[in-house]
Amino acid sequence: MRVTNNNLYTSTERQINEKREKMMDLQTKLSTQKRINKPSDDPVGVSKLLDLRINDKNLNQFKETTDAAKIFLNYTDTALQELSDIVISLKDLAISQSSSASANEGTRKAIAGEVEQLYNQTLSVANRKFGNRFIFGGYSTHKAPFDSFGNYYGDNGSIRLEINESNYLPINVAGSRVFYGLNTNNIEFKGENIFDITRLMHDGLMTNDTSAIQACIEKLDKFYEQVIEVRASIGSRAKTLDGFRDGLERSIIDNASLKSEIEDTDIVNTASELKKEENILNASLNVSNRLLQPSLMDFLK
Amino acid sequence: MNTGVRSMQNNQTAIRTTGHNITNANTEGYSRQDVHTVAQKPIQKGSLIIGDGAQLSRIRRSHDVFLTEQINKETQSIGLYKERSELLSSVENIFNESSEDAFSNTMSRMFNSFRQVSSNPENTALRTASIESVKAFTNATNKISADLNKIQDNSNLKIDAVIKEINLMSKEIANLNENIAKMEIHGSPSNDLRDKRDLLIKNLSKLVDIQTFEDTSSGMVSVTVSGAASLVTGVKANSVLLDRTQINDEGQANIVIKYDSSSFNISNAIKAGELKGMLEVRDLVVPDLRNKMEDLIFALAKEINKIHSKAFDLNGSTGNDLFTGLESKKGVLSSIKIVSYLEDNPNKLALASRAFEPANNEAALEISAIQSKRLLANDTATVSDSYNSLVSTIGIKAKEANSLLKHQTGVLDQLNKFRDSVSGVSLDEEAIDLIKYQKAFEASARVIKVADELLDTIINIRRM
Repeated sequence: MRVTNNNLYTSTERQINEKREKMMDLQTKLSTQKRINKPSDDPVGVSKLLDLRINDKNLNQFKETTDAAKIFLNYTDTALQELSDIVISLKDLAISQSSSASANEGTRKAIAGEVEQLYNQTLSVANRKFGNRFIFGGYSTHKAPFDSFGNYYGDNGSIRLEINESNYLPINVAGSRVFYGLNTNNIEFKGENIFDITRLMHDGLMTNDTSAIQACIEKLDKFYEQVIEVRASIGSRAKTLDGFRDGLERSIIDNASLKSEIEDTDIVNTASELKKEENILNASLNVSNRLLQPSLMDFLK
Repeated sequence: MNTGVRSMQNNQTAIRTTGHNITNANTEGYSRQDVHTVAQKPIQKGSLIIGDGAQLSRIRRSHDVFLTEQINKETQSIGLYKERSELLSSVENIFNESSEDAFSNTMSRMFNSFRQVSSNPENTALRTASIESVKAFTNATNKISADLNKIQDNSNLKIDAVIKEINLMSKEIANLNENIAKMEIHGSPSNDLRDKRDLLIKNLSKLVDIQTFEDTSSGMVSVTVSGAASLVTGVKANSVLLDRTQINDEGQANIVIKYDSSSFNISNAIKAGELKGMLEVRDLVVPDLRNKMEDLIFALAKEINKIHSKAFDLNGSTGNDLFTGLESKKGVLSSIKIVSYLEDNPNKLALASRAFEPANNEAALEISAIQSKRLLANDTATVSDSYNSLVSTIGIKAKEANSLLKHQTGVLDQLNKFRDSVSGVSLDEEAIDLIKYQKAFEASARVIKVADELLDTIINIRRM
């Protein structure tokens, strides 16, 4: 083939441009540390990558939600712990005041005052707030669920949170369940009303009615069991949460490593590729030096 | 002596042509010229036939018609691939997902903001955050619409510029036709003007797919766009125009060729060249993307509205939408907005399934669950599935365009190499030619000198 000057120039130019373009691409990959900088870099990878990114956002949100749920459950449990303590105190008082050996009309009257105290304490537990939310109001968290007579104004709403994709966990217990022993449909099933019991006991103490006080002991036992049941359910929910949270943390790590596998630059590989391209470029520059320089003109002197 | 003089003139012409070649070594589109000499008609003297020197027959350009045609054809494709690849990369930029404000991030942030507010729906700050994330989502949607429009507008600006170039070139071709016809009336080819015209045709091929036909008697070339509409006939060039009064189904202006009393729509006839690349992105790629995005946004916003309008806000009212501007699917990308009263009234965000239950988050949960709901493609794809595959499709298209461009560049480079090999100037060759013709010139001078001396001898024969 006849080789003309233009031929030499353009093909040298093209070769060098090609190498430079390749090197620039490799450099972008190295400097951004990302293999995929635009969709066309890896169209299939990019779609997986977007999935993983959404996943990452969701997993972190779920983790945040489980943390919030855990705090709420713990707070509820602390309140219920306080309630159990109150019940134990009430029971102690009931036992000591029902026998004639350790008590008399006078002590009973005095103890009635203490029972009233405990009643108020129960009420304060029942109207406990977490931040601005009444924790035992069901969905009605904006107003005190119990009035001073122990009447319930809340509802049976169960606040569910999404703790993993399409996995929902209730984080609250309605006051009617804890303090009245009503089941979720607000239909009485076996429950005891702590306010009624306390009032009964107070009246028994005031009227010196030992049999009434005695009757309270059994009711308090039943109520105690009722609280323990709720606490057990809260405990098991907390355990579920812990399990989910561990799972989420593992998923977040797995997700991140998958993401990195798809989008991150293989530094060693890319750097050595860059070096290789650089060598080729140097070689072709060298060759062009020899190819472009000589001309017949140089020898016609 | 006559033979010598003619030879000197011939060689002088040859040296001149060599010089012409050398000076045009880097002229684009130039074809190497060489001088053809033939032997003069011999003189017959008795039984002897005596040679009478050489005469110039013509100055020819080294030119391969077939190769030129092939280059023109491949140049049309390179124009198409180049524009397609360039415009698709700007489309790619719209859907570039590497930044935090990327659309898919904005969408998943919106879903997660509803998850977040569901953990404490009474909280005004969280409600406000949700509303902000919805606003960010509508803004991102509006921006995609604006960006897609911008690409179409830019395509039109580019089309205008290319059309201007086409008109200039076709006028010039018409002018050259006239000049070539005038010059060639005497029979010898007008090499340089033909080179110039060939170059124009090649450059024109890059812009739009043209077919050319040379009238061998006049040497004039007629040019048609895609064989469908005539652009240059003889010495007359018809002008091309982006006619904004003629609009296609996508609401975009058609490209027409204006004739004396009529005009002809060539938008659909154009099959290659830069114009095709621009038309393709403007009329096919962008509208297709817009349709897909409209499907997605419309389905998503409708579904969210359905839940939101059934839900109750903190004040106990219900029946309100979250999004407005959903009157029709067409244009939803630019019309979608968050309902205005929500902007400074976070309490009106409806998240509860019953009235006056401030901690009721059932609607919020339902809205965030839409993220994994299969709303699209006949209930087989979630919104993010659809969006991801859309981004992936753009990526595939852009990648394909890039590799076609690369491949085509290779093909054209190879063809240009062949063309150069036939028509290009080699300075080494020209240097040799220079020496060759210079020596011949010197020798011819010598012939004259010898003839002169012979004459001298004859004249002075008596003095000897």
